[in-house]
Amino acid sequence: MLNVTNINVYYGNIHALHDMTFHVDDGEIVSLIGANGAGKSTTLKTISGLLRSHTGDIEFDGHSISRTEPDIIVRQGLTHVPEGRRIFLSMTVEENLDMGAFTIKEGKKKALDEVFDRFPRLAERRNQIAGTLSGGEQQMLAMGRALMIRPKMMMLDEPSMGLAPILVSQIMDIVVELNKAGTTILLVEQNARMALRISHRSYVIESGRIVLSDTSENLLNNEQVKKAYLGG
Amino acid sequence: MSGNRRAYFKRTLLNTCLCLAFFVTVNYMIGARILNRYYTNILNLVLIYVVAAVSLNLTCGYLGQLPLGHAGFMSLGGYTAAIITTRFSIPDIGPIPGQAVLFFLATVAGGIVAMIAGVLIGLPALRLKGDYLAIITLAFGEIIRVLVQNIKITGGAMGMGGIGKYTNFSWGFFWTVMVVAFTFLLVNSRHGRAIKSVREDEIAAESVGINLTYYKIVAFAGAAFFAGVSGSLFAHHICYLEPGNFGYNMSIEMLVMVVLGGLGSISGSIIAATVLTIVPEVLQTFATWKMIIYSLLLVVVMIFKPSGLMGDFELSAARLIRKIFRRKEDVPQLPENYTEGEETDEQET
Repeated sequence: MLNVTNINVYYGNIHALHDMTFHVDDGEIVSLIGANGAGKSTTLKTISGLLRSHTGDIEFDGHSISRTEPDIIVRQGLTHVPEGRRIFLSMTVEENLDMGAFTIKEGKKKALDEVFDRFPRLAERRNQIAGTLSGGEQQMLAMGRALMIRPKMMMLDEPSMGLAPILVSQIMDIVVELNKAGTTILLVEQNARMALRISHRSYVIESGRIVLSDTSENLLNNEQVKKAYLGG
Repeated sequence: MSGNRRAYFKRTLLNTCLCLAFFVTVNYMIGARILNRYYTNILNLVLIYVVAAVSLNLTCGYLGQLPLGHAGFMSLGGYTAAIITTRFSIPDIGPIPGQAVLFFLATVAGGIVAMIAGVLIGLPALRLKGDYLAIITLAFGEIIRVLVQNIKITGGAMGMGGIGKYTNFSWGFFWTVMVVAFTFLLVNSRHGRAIKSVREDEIAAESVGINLTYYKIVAFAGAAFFAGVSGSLFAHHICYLEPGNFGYNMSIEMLVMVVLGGLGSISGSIIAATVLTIVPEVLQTFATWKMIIYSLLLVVVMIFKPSGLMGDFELSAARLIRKIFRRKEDVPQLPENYTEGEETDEQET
């Protein structure tokens, strides 16, 4: 579904991503794990077109998207739930979801019902101003907003950030459900244990390079990973 | 859905009626000399500033950018229109006076020239944010001023005289209704939601598939068009243009109106433009204190109401009427979250 080949991304003079190559197959949950500043978010931003790679290619669903504008990429069915949720704080829950459906003309109502089915909490609060939601609800809203176009693939940037442990596992359950319902998922997480538990395969990123890649099960038992990311 | 449509239709009808009533009343007052020449002049000036302020609110309030070159667009529109009306004439077509047609076309042309300039300056400038956009647009305004000062067709530093006094209440009111209707319909449409979401969070807007550059340019160009229109009205109001008319002071003045009225409130811009045009006139009697009182007023409002007079609230004739009737009939309250933005054009007096 997604093929990233040899991308190099710079912030000014800083070389943030080095020759990154990885892929996500149809129906998979793939996670990118790594420490702060390793380049996980940069990778997602590059895929969704917010940043540009100087080299290589990004292919989504058979088309190259490395030179495609971000709004067109969304139209092709690849959505990005950005880090820190980034919901529209002064709009209501429903307006936020409506913005999520910005690129589609038909089936809005049905998509909205589906999102409300999946997140009953959002349905209860449909007319509430998004800024007054709790952190977990805001994360659900960010995901719901991305789901409005029924994406083929969804990229989640740190969905567990700033959430209580119970909420983290709730959010992760939802991610798994979404995946079972047919959405391919690329997950970026600092919470490596959670990410490894729910994903099929994972890549470990260090200083903008992929240093390890394996099935998540193997990585959970990998000594090196245990030491560096799972607390011994 | 049909209920919504009917309510929408009712509101539109109500607002149209109120507009017409206001227009007819004021026109009658002017005709009957209840409003003398001096007051009519001020009223026209108010309408000119309303057009400029409401259009600036589109980029400032709804798009959330900080442009400081509004006077530059007004200058372009003003000079373009003035050059057209002073060089050409159109014969009367039956009952329609040719001069009115010419003025209308010249004003539209002025708007279009300003709009083209808006797109050209917007393409590079809107990639920048905050301070940088402010500086670029400020520089743009100054470039226009210096250009106008140094080319022949605009009369250079001598200024440009002999412009017909075509701006009257009817034209001012017509363009005010145009800019209010345009802004209101735009910001409450699907495109308007896109524009507002850019203000809220650019990354989020991009992640839901909104083309940032496109919507920024749309808002910027729309604002520039009406700034050009306002410039044309201004030129045919004072009948004499000199480059200094449209200095950066004018841009700042417009910005003050928008901020004072409330970013993202059309009614706010209308009220602030009205107040800030009338107050200096009223204060003429205290010439020495004029600027001090004016500035103090701004300081006081900004301290006690930092979001501006109206915040992002809109006056609504429909809502007002509903409130009055509800009290009479004691209809149960609408749900708390019942929102409705509705704009009327009656706030000019």
